[in-house]
Amino acid sequence: MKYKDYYKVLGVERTASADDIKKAYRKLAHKFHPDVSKEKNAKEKFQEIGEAYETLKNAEKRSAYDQLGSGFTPGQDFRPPPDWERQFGEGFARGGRADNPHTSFDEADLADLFAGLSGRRSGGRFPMPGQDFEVEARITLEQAAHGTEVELNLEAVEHDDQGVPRRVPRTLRVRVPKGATEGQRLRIPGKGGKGFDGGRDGDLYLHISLLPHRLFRASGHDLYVDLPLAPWEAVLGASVEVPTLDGAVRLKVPAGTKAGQHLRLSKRGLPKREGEGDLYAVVQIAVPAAPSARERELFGQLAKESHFDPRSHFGSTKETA
Amino acid sequence: MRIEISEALWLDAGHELTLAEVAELSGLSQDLLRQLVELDALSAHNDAGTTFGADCLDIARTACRLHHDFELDAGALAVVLRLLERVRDLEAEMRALQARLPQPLL
Repeated sequence: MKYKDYYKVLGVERTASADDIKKAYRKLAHKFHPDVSKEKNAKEKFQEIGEAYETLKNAEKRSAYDQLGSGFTPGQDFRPPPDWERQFGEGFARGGRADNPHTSFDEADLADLFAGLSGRRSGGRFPMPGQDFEVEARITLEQAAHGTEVELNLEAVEHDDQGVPRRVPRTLRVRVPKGATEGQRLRIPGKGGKGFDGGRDGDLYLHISLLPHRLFRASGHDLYVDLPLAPWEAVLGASVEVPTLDGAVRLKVPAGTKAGQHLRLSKRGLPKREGEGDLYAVVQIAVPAAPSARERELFGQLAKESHFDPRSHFGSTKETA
Repeated sequence: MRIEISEALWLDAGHELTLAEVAELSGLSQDLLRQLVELDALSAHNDAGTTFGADCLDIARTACRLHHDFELDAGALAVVLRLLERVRDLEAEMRALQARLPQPLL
């Protein structure tokens, strides 16, 4: 079993009062709670903080934790003293049996042991639901469009015959149906942690997020792609090839198309549960970086002959005396 | 080792859940759920407040975490949930605007 210094996690002395522990927890929770924090690793950090607080806020658990001793460094492998196991062993094992209170905690996680302590020592077994998991799945636009399978490696808390909790690695494959997009939530019933003593198995919640794409940007189920046009294509109109998630299609660009205009390709976005989103080509006017002598000559001729003034709406900019 | 493939369910308004199901799946009590409905922090599908779209499950589970971790009552939860919803809406709007903006030409 790995040692964790719960006092250090909360940044308090071992002699701190219950009130000081609560204040320290609240301060850290405001900073790292994953529902409100944008801090890096907020989820992992809050998990540590919550685990420490769950043990230290409860007098019985804190006393048991304190009796483990303080001569360990965080992460160090340790074994509770024999008298500690005699005193608390039965209470820590889920529904620990009086005839076999000496249970091996070697493979247990400190947090899981303390989670099981409160209220159990008074006896009795009762149904305990399995843990729910919330997992982020980052998928490509192509996977979102066609549906995909994601492989998840989780660590679930399970109880042995003696009721001692231990972490068990599990690999799950989940089919993500087509039509998911950024922020979509999916539920996989019964695929969380195992329930105990008749408690229901936990669920797995999948949060979908989309990986950036080389060409396309997603907004809901609509996609956007930049469409660079040569100046003459924008002025005269053209038929151009535009990439989509299912291969290139031809798009008719109307004459007089302006930079920034959005040309819609209906139903070429991401699929929805019913129907499809659209694809928008965002027009950009591109110019040759190094025009040839002939190109310069032709543009020069156009400049001389054209009466087009793209800045006419500025009006007169001459300063008045 | 053979790995079983699990099917995912959509959590959206099209799938309906009862008050008891939302309570069981979110960890919130039915009483607190009713209070959140009264405070407009959760939208029920019917006037009696007994059926919900499955999309509310995400909000209810967030409410449960905040209730447990910060000891918030229904009133405070309603304020936080509303602010979180505004943050989510603004983030979605920002993503939509970023998607519409052309990237610099190479």
